Amino acid sequence: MSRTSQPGARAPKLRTWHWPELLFIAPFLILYVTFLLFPMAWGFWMSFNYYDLFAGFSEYIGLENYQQLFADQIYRRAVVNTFVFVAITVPPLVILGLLIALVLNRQTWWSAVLRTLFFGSTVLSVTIVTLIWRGVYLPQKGLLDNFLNAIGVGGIGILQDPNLALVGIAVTTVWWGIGLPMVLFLAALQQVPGEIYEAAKLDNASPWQTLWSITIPSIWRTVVLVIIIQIIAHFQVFGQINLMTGGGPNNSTRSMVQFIYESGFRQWTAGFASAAAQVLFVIMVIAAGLQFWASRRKQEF
Amino acid sequence: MKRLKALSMLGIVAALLTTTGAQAQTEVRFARFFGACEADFGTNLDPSLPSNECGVITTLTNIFNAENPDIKVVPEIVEWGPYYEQLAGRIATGDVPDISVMHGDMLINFVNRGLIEPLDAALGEAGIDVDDIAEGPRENVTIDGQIYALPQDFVTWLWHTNSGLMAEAGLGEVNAPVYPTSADELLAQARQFKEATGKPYLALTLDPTSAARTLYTLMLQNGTPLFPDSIKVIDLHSEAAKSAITLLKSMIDEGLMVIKPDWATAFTDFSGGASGNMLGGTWQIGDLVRLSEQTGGQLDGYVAHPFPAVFGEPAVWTASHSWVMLKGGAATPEKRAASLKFLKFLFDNNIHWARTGHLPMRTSLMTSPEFTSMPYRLDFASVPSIAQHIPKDVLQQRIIMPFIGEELLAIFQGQKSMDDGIAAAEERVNTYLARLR
Repeated sequence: MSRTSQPGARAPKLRTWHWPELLFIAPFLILYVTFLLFPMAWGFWMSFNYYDLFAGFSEYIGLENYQQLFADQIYRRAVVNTFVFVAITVPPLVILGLLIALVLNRQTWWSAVLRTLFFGSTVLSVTIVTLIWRGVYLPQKGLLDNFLNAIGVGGIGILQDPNLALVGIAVTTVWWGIGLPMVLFLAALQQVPGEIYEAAKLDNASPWQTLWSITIPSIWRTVVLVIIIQIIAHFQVFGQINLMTGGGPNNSTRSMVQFIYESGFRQWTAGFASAAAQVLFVIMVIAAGLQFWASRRKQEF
Repeated sequence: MKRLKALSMLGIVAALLTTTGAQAQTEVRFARFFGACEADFGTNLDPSLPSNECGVITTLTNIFNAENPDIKVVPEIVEWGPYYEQLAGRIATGDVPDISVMHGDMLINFVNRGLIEPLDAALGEAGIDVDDIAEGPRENVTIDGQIYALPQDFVTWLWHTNSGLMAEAGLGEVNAPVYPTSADELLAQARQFKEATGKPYLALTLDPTSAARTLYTLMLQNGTPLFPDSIKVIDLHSEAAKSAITLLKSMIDEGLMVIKPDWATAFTDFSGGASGNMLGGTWQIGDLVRLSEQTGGQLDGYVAHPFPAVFGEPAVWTASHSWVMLKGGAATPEKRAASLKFLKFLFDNNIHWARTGHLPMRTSLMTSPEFTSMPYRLDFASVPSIAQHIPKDVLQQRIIMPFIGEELLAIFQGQKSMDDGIAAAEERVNTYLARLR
């Protein structure tokens, strides 16, 4: 029986704050409030206004920005594109990252070299990555079309085809981003005690059984972490789309963040852009929350 | 010891002189795009050398700085794409340049917000003859009777032509190609060209603005306005718009016109002799001349010609670069005087800007031998009389033209039907314009 349930027992008193303690966290708190909480609250307020950043003019318009947003076909397409992009990018990043980590989780010189190579693309800037892949995808003259022509398939302009452009950008993104999941999985794998694998060997466990019953449960928290990081990161996809297709062809690659950027900074409708940003924020919180909830349920696994 | 003292005194005097000299030099902060090319033209003082926008403006700035040791024009260069976002951000934070380049079509967005100084008095003060500015560009920068910018040029939409290939197809001679004068002639010539050379007659780039400028030009030639009733509502359901789109689409379907994935490919292919003509702008002439000289004959007899009147009367889309003085910039009398002196210098040297391919905005230069003898330009003298700006009161033209162009390209590539594409373009533009206060 707990203390609180004892008749007549007094409820534990929460410790009160002391000023010196507050002083210690004050530097962080000030920065956090100034650069995160305040802009978020300001952005939320802006979404209910017609807001002209450059003229310093604003007018309260209630939910009009949200009404226009949900009626906007380009925005609705951007939401769909973003979800599709997350759906086709996150699973390969997680699965491929895990597979590469499993293969390279050994102390040999070649695995060290390959680890470096796989991580190499991650350190490139988005400008370099998109330059490389635009060269790969270039119709008729690009690496891909040259290869397809050589095997008699015939060229395809991936970035010019509305059905393939987003897939092309997803491939670029996986190539670019595979390094981080791989490193996180490697770090997690190196924490799994070797004795468990020795015991599995003694029990004649197959490699599949070992993977499914030992490795994955042991690194499950990292798996969830990688999934959450990737989902949050790819809901915010912008740079590679902006540089490779500009949202085209026929709006087939325009993402939510690109829509927000264009609305706020190019089209000078900051209130409207803020409304779109609030929706993205809610979607990301829900997505991350769902993943977190799922990860807690799987703990027993 | 005495020697040391003397040396120290000399040092102090030299330092003071240097400081005084630096202080006496008035700095003019010059915000612009056009790129950075210090490696090629950073010290160049010969205006006849460069042939592109970056080279010419860099050289002109060098010359001005050399001729005016008391003034230092400091270019603040921003990439073309995010230029206006950056400029607006600078205004919002109070970091205002003294002189800024601005497309004429962007002017209304800044004037409506009270961000630009009217220049009427300043131009007179600088000794700039406003009457020498061509009517089109001058009218384009005049809002409510006040001049808000000094125009720099006519930027216009045209055909880049490989007259060697055209001659091969029996369409004129090298350096004297024959252009169509109607839609039927356009189709007939394009088919003749394709049959003779096996190549497309015309190339368009997968650039939404290019598609929109082409349609706008065809509508102008037909005399059909894009904004028939209000500057906030476009109409693409007119017969002229539909006929123009149908014409372009049929050319693409028939292989008479090809869409290139980007400008780099379009340039490379055109200079390699992949098509008879390429739709483009005046700003590309300098680069194409250079490429034509490097391609070893594949771009034989390169010429640029105003967009042919294939849809009615001669008319073509145009725009202008211009120089503005933003409110809060050139804040001291010295800076203002120095800035105006630089504007006068740019006005006086307007002919050099024509080397880029753009047309000079000074009427007196249109007939000058310096301009008329410039090579590769066919019939450019007609441009001022046929060039038409988009109505200057239309807000955010640089946003709405790509909206139209994206939908046009979707139609051209078979991703949308004409009705769906037209409806989508109208909805996007009209909704956006209605949203703006």
